Amino acid sequence: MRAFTLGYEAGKRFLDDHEIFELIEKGQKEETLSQEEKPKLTLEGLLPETEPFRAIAQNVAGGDVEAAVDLVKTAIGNGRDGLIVVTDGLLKGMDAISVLYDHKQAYVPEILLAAQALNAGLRECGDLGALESKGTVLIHTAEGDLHDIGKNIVAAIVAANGYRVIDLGTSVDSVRLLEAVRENSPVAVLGSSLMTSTRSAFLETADLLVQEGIEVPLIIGGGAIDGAFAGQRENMRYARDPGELVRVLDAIARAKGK
Amino acid sequence: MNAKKRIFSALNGGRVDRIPAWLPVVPVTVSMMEISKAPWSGSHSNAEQMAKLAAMPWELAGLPTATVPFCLSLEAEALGCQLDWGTVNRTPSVKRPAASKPDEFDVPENLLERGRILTALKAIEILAEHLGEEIVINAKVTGPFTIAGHVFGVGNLLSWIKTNPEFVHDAMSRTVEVTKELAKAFLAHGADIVSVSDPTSSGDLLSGDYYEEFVFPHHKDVAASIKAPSTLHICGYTKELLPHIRHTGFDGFSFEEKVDVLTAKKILGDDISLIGNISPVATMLQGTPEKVTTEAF
Repeated sequence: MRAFTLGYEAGKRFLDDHEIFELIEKGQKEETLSQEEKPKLTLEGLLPETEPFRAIAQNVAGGDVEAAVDLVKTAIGNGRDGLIVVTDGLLKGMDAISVLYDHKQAYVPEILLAAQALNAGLRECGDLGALESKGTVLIHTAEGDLHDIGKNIVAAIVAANGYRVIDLGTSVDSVRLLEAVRENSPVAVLGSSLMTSTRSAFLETADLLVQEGIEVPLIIGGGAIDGAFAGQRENMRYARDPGELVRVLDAIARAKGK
Repeated sequence: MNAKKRIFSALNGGRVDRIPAWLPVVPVTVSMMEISKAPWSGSHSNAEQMAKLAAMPWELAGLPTATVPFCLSLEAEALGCQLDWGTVNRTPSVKRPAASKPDEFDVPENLLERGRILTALKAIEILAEHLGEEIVINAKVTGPFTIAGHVFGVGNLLSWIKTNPEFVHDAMSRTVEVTKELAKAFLAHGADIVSVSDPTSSGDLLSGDYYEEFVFPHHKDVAASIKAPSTLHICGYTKELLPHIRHTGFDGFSFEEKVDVLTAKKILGDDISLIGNISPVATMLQGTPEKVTTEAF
C-alpha cells in the first residue's frame, strides 16, 4: 500500500495509527535488511597489494590525475611493462572506485575524476594493442538524448573491467548504430536514456538488429529505463547499475567464448 | 472545497477533503498538441499557443493546473546556450554550454527580455486571466544547479566539486540569481505557484554531503525569495538529500518512486508536503487507471 501523506482532515486520517505503526515497522525491517546486505567497504581493501600498482590504483580511484600519471611514468621508467601497469594498476583503481560507486560510497564527481586519471594514465602506457580484452562493446545514448555523463561513467567502468569500449557518442540513430555493429562485431551494444521521450529509439534499434539478422544483445539503462521497458524485446536487457551491467557482460562473454 | 483550495491546503499541510491530483511538472501529450492546434514547435515560442497547450490537461482531463514553460532550457537559452529543439515528442534540451569557467559568465542585465522568457511570462498572463479563478497557474523555473550544468557543462560542474569547489560556489552564486529573478517575474505576471525543478542536483549524481555543501544554501535562498507557495522537484534517487531538503523552506517536494513514500515521510516530517512518488512510466504510461488509483490512495 502506498499512502499519499500530504494533509489530513482533523480526526480523519488516511491511515489509522495501527496501520501507520505497521508500515513503519515494516519499513524499518526492510531498512535494516538492506543495510546488512551492503556492508561498508573501504578503498584500501579494494586496492591491489603490491607496489607500485597499489599507489597507481589508489591515485586513479582518488582521481588525482597528476599523481597517477607521475607514478605510471616512474613505473614504466623502471622497466615495468605498460600492459601490466594498465591491468594491475590503472584498471584496478577504476574498478575499486566503481565498486564503491555501486555501494553508494562514491558518487559521480569521484567517478568522473577517476576516469580522467585512468585515461591520462593509459596515454603513458604506450601501445595497448596487445591488451587482452574480453570483447568489444559499443556504447551510445538514445537518439535525441544528449545526456552523456551516465554513458561516460559506464564506458569507463566497463573498460576497467577488461572490455574494449567504442563510444559512439550521444543521440545515435539506429542506422549509424547498425553500421558500427557491422564494423566491430561487438559482444553487446550498450544504450543509455535519461528521457522517457527518447527511449523508444531502443525499440527501433532492437527491431532493426533482428530484421538484419544480427544476434547481439542491446543492454540498456539510465533513468528512463526499467526492466518492464527492456522486456518488450527479446534481444533487449536492462542493467540497473554499472556493477550489474558488468556481471551481465561477463556472462555473455563467457557464453560466447564457449 | 474547490480544486485550487485543495491544492493550496495540501501544500501548506492543512486539511483536504481528498488527495488533490496535482503535479508541478509538465503533463502535455502529443494528442493535446493536435486537439489544441498548438504544435510543439510553436508552443515554445508563441505565448498564445503556449497558453492553449498548457490549458489542455485541465480542459481535456480535468487536471486542475496549467504549467509553463514546457522545458528546462528556457533559462539556458536566454543565457547563451545552444539548444536542440527536440521533436514532436521530445522537449528541447541544451546542446552546448555557454561558458567553460564561472568568471566567463555573468547574468545578463536584460535577462527577462532574452530568449523566450517574455513569451513564457505572457503565457502565464493569458492563463491567469482566463483560468486563474478555477485552477492553479504554475510557473516552472529551473533550479540553480541544473542551470549551472547547462551553462558550464554538467561534466565540468561535477568535476569541480572535487578539483575546484570554489568554481562551483561561484557558479551557483550566479545562477541562483537567474532562478530567483524568473520566479519573481512569473509571480508578477500572475502565477499562483512557483515550482523549481533542479534535476541535476539528484542523489543519483550527488551525495547528501555534496548537496548540503553546494546546493542546499541556494535552494534555501530561492525558497525564501519566493513570496508564494513553492515546490521543489528533483528526479531520481533523493533519499540522502531528504534530511537537507526538509529545511529548504519549500512548501512541497516532488520526488520519484526510487524513494518510497514512507521513508520520505519519516525523514521529511511535517515540514514539507510530499508530491508525486507515482512512477510516470511504469504506472502512468504503461499501467492502467486502476493501478494509478491503487498507488495514489
